[in-house]
Amino acid sequence: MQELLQIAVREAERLGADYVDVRYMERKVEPIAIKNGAIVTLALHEEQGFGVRVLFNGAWGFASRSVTTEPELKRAAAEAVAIARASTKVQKSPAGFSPLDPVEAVYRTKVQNDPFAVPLEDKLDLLRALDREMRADPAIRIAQSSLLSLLEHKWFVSSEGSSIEQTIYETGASIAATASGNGDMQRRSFANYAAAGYEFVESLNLKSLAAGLAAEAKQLLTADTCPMLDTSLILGSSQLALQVHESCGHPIELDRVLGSEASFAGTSFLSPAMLQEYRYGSEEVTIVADATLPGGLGTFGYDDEGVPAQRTTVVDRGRLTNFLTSRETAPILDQVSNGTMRADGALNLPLVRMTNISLNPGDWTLDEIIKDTKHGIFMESPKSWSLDDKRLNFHFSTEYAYEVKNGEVTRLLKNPAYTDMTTHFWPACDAVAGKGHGEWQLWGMPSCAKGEPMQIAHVAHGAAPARFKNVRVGVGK
Amino acid sequence: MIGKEQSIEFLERVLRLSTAGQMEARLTHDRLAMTRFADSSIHQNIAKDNISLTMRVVNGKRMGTAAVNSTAMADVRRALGVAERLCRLQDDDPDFSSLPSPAGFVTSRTFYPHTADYSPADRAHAVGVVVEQATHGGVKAYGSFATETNEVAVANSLGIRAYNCSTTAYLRTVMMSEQHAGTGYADMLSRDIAAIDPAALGEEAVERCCLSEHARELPPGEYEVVLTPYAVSDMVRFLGYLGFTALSLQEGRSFMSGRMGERVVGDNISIWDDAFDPDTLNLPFDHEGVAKRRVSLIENGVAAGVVYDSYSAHKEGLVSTGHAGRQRGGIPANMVMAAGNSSLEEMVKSTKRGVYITRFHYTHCPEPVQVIMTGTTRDGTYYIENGEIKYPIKNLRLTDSVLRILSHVSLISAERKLQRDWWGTFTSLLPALKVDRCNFTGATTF
Repeated sequence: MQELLQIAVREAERLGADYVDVRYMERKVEPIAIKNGAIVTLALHEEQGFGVRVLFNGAWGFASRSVTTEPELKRAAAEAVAIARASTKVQKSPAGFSPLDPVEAVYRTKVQNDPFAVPLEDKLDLLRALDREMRADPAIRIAQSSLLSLLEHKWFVSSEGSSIEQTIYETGASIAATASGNGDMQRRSFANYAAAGYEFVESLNLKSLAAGLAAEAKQLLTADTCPMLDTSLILGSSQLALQVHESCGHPIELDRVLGSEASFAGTSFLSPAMLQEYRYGSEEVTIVADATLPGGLGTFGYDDEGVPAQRTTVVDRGRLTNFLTSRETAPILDQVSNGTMRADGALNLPLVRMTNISLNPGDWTLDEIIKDTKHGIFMESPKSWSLDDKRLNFHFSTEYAYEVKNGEVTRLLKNPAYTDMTTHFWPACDAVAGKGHGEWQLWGMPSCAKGEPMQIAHVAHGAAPARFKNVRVGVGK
Repeated sequence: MIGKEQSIEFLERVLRLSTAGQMEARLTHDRLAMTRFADSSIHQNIAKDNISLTMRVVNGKRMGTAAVNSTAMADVRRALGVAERLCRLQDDDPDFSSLPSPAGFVTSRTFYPHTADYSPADRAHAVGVVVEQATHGGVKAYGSFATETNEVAVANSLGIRAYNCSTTAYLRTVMMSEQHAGTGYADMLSRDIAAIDPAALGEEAVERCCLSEHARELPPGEYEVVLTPYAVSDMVRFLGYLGFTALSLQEGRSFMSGRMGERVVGDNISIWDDAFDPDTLNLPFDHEGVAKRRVSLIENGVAAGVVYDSYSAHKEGLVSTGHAGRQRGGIPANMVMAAGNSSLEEMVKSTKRGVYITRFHYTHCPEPVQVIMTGTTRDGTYYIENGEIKYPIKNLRLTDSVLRILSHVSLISAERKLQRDWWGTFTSLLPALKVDRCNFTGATTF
């Protein structure tokens, strides 16, 4: 394959490109979903194609095709150069490009049980069992369960001499129970995904989760509504993972900071000048971007510029210490890329994307945090999320909450929501759990949208429950 | 381009490969070219060419689906084998009766050669015009300019043979002043590149940007609101995917569930779906090759109907309205809101104490049954007092029920704009609205 891709490299160089990389990918996705006992999705989506990226006189051009033949490789190379030539017409200064030693490498996700080798009958049996479990109670009006298996096989070659082959597997599941009654509808759900084999799905203990979710959805129908007040907010692991994604992960993308996404996804409240200076959070807050973390959806061997996967501390005991960078953006910080450029398939251009961005575990247990809280609300399981275009003001709602009074969990609450400013929220973090067994969990999110045309990235976030002081809750009824 | 004859001929070859009771094949060829710019420079510039084939195989009440982005017959045969195997593994679906049958559809002009032929140099020239406007106004330009050519062909074993080729041009920009202190937005969308005016677009965004500098704080609370069509599109989006689909109605999730024929919003609000309106991104047929029909969704404030694909229609003994999408259950594609007789100027003049909202960012729906939306304003938010825009204000978070908002609309503009919402879910033809009260629950610092 590398030899074939070199045709495009040579053609683009012949036409004057200063730098060329070519990516080819074969991707296979098998979604299966059951809703109320009926199979609503049972499909296999296969895609293939290549993309040629060139730098010409300091300007970028990119062309991609689903049909990979020698003539198409040459045509795409020529088109990429023509596009780059047009880019030079509206350009203030040449794009920067940090140096990179050429790499020849092969990377493969560690998999015990190939998800595509598991009989479909077994997968359907599992989903049917989950469906039955959730619908055992007639209050459950909608039961949904799904499995996802993904395989990406991709090759990268560049005019600098890099040649990389990567095979990445992902699996995961989601289940949701929606109860109806008392003039209301309430939903409880669970979803998690990993770069792993089918063993990950088997480790999720989905059957016992299904029964629990159905019972909780029903309980929510008669629960009190979350009151509106300023209080201590304790977030569970999955909600905090999303909070990290939205109000830490996105603001530290250096392309956003520099305005690349201004017209769609937005910018960031951060600036390069704030590096090493800005206090993002309290001493309790340390956030790491780690593309080497086993099992993370943001785990790989090399990014889509051929930069090795890395572990970077982005917030160190509250202080901003780094951004997510690319070969083009890193020179602005006098750095080399920390390897976060990823594309949604070979047909799309790589962008700075989150890898596995996690809040490090703290030295509390969740029990200790609850016991230490006089008045507060515990919220868990994402329901909705909305942030302004600089990632400052946010509003999240969750599927359920519990009131905490005098160190004890009291009543269940429905329709919980909270709102705050990123600049207030993270400095108000005064306790992070993780000391207890299993409190820190890694959550795979295969749905991060960014870019034009919109691309979907698969990322992950680790978090243990944590407490934040003086947050407005109950907003949005 | 593949073209009509070659597309249909290819799909007929694909259909002949299968011995299934019924089969559907859908071929798409999408060519997207996009130039993105930031800090008044082009920073991303792409062309993407993708051919994709999706096959649905049906035996009795079972269905299997496979998709492959290749037309090589070896790939097609392999994918078809997968679809047939998946079909065998399916359970009988009692609600499935058949793929749709053929019915004639009306063609309308959807293809503009100048849009299809628009070159990277043409796009760079247009972006240069926008950047020039920015430079002239002392601000910087950010945005994107996309041109697309989309071929779609659908054939099924019951005789459906549908082909269409369409073009789209979409230019948008955010202008920003130094330190991003002020921002202003404008976009233009059309099937015809000739309708895109980069100079006018740049001027509109620069004007908004300059007007939004030195923004002051406005405390959250309840205010009168003037919404441009940019902002209205994010509200209509929630109605579209949460309420107007047959699936949401059948599952009791729609705000119209159990309320069909009842008043759900103000009687001055009418919304319908009309793929034949030349001012929309018109299309003759849906994902299943079924002819589009005009569907009334809300008529004079009363819940009037939802859109169907063949599956959701057959479930109720009805006929598809031509609204099949990627997901089963029907999805509107060309929503239109009835025009009024007002204008943005009149709306401002009629406002005693209110907020002018250009657009929203990253809206979401915490409570779908009540259609409560939350999202922050951006790129031009101003305080109105006694009929005049007084000063720019720092962005606010609106959290309110879309149904409640549309129950308090006092003025509707005569002029409507073809508008894509922030998420890009829908493209709708929408007026500006004056709303007598909207609830704001927070504010940003910029």
